[in-house]
Amino acid sequence: MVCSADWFAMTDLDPRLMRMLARHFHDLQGLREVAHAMFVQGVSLVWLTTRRQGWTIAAGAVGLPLLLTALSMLDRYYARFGRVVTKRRDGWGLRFAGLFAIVLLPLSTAGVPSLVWTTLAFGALWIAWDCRPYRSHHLLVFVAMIYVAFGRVAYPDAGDLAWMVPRLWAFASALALAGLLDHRLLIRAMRQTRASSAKVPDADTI
Amino acid sequence: MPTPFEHLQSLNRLVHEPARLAILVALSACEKADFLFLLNITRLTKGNLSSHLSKLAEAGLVEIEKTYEGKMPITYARLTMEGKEALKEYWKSVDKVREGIRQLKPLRTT
Repeated sequence: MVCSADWFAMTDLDPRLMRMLARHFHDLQGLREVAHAMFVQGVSLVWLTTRRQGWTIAAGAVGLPLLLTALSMLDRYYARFGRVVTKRRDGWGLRFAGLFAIVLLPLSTAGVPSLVWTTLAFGALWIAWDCRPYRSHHLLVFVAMIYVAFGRVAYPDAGDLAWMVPRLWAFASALALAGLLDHRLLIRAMRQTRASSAKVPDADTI
Repeated sequence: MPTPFEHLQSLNRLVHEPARLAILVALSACEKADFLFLLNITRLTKGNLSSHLSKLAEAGLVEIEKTYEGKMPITYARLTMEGKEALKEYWKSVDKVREGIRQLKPLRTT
C-alpha cells in the first residue's frame, strides 16, 4: 500500500507556504523592517519640524544606537523560531547602507525619476511576485517607492530635500506595514504548526 | 506503457510520507536549517522529528551537522545531493501519476 491513512493526517500542511517560509525566513522577520521604518520616520519628523540639517543629523546619531539595540533584541527574539541558512544571505547590512545611500546621495536629476528608487521599487515588486499569494502587501511598498522615485518630477525646481520628507514618510509607513504583515505571516505559520502538532502520527507507525 | 498505478507503486515511499516530504521540501528551499526551525515548520513533536531525520539520514537523503553557537548546541540538517535527486524524482513520478490519471476516461455505466 502506497498511501496509508496516516498520509492524510498532514494534508493541511501547505508545501508552498513551507517552501516560502524556509526560503524567505529572514525576510519574514518583519519587525526589523518596522525598526528601520521608525528610524526613517523619526529622522524625517525632526527635519520636518526643525528644518535644520544639524538637528536632523543629531537625530540620526541618537537614533542609530537605538536602532542597533532594537535590531540586536530582535535577533534574540527571532532566534526562538530557529535558524535557517540560505544560499542568498539576506543582507540587512547592505539594505541599511542602501537606505542611507538613498537618502544621502544626490537623489535624482530634476525632472527625471530616481533610478535608484525605481530599481529598489522593482525589488519590492519581485518579492510580491515571488512569494505570491502570501506577500502581496509588498505591492504597497512598490507603490510607495515609485511615489518617492517620481518626487523630482513633481518638484523639479525644489532647492532642498523638503519635498522628499512626506514621500519618505509614506515609504516608511508602507515598509512598516509590510514588515508587520510579514511578521504576522511568520507568527501565524509557526503558531499554526505548533497548535496542530498533536495530530501527527508517530514516526514509528508510518 | 506503464499505468498510473504502476507509477504510483514506483513512488519513493521514504519521500512520500508527508512528514518526511515536509522536511525535504523545507530543506530544499535553503542551504540548511536547524532542528528548532524544522520542529516549528513541520508540526512534529521532538521525538517524531528526530526519528524522521534519522531515517532520512540513514537513507543518505539528509546530512546532520551538530555544532555549537557559543555554548548552545545546534543541530542542523541539510539536503544531500542524493536527497535533491530523490525529491526531483519524486515530483517527476507524481507528475507522471497526475498525467496518467488525466488520460483515464470515466466508464459509461448507463
